[in-house]
Amino acid sequence: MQQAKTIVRNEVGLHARPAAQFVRLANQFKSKITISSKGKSVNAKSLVLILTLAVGKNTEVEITAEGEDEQQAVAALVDLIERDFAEEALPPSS
Amino acid sequence: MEPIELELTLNGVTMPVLVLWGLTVRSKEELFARVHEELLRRGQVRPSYLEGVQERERQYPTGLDFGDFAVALPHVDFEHVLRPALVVALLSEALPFQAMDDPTRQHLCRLAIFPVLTSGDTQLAFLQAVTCALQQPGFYTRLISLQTPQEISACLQSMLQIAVNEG
Repeated sequence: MQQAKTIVRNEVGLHARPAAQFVRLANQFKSKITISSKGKSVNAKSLVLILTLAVGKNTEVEITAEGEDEQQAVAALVDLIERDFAEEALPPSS
Repeated sequence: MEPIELELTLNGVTMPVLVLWGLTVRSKEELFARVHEELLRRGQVRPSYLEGVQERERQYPTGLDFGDFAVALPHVDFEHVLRPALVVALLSEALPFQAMDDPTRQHLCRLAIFPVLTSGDTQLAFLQAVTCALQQPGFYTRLISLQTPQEISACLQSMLQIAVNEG
């Protein structure tokens, strides 16, 4: 299992557009992935569930992945958040 | 049914909510034009709103899949908004909206909720309220079956209240 914490710096938080980017990227991995914030954890591959978290600006999130590509998944999703959703990261070439 | 005007509170912000119930439109363009006309007449948006909401939907579609049904949440950038509002449109015939998380897919939506907002915090609270409420078993079915302004008002207020309770 891989885990990493990061902070959402986006001006309006994890609203519809960045959340959709996040989900699209998460769905490119086979691992089971969750995102946690403010004590609540949801499936990172479900847009509806991520929107229920209401992750605002400067909020810490924890990403957890479990599966064959867990390391790449966590790295790519953290990278997407830390690049402030500038562009979607590429999935692993494997 | 004539448009219903309500005043509801979301995230501490009281705003008008325009309800277009049983609206007959043949396309997204017609829907957006109708919503624009209503908002512009009430001084809630700038004349640029129509182009803003159309362009935003083209670039970042908003069809959101809840499993048994889907809902559209057409967004617009803050610059087109003068005063916050929500528009809730129940369509007599469902329209196709591209999926928010996969623009190659389409969802048929009878319910479209337009956040016409001016701050990120309220936008997040709106998304949280809508997604939490619509996940509740039976909420969508109950909402779309309502007939009177009083019933619709109470149901929508309970939906927005969820943001306060969850936040």
